[in-house]
Amino acid sequence: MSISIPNSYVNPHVRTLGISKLRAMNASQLREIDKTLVIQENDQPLAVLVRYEEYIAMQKQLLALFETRAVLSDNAAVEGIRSGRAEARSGNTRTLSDVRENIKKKNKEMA
Amino acid sequence: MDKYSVELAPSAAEIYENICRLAADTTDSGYSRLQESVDDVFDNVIPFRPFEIGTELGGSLGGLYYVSRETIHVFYEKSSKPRTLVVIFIWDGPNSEAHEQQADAICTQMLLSARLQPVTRPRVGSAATN
Repeated sequence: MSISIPNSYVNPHVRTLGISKLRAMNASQLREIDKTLVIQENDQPLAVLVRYEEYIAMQKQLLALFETRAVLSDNAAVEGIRSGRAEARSGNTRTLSDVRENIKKKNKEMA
Repeated sequence: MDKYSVELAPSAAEIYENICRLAADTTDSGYSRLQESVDDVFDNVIPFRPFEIGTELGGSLGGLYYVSRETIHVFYEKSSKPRTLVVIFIWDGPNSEAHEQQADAICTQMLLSARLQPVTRPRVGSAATN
């Protein structure tokens, strides 16, 4: 026998809401909601409503995971990061303006 | 808002110098675009709000932050100096647009399954098992 557990019970950040209640809400009420809404009709989940900021944060965190995976699958990138971190930890860094000055100087010498 | 100062690890400085040299030496506009992307990240992106949510890598690369523009990926971390960050590595890697499309597709799937919590908030201990 399958037992139906409401989303709000499993996850305290999720609130279930009937479609008629959603229909009655205005923009300010929606703005004040700090939970993910599972919209239901006759106690059946129908749709999910999430704050826009949360959706963007979720996308960014996914992108960071993809980036991590991409870096870790490239040995040269991993090695580059490893040596860069070691240099930074030993305090061996250069300011951006110093690096740019050096590039200008080299360009002048070449000209 | 106070800007963060940008410093470079010597190996990252060398990569940046190479990009600038190639942009100056060749007629290939690809290198110029590459330099413009890196300069934009250095001057207009990372000095302002460098440690925003979703810019930190995970796992063994935790503590490392990134910004990508097309195929250019700039990795940096907090310096021990106040309001300073250190660019650790500059990578010409996969196109970030492909990742964005992939993230969009996964977000849509997660929204449809209401599995948002693992990504957006820390897990809530025992609530699901009670």
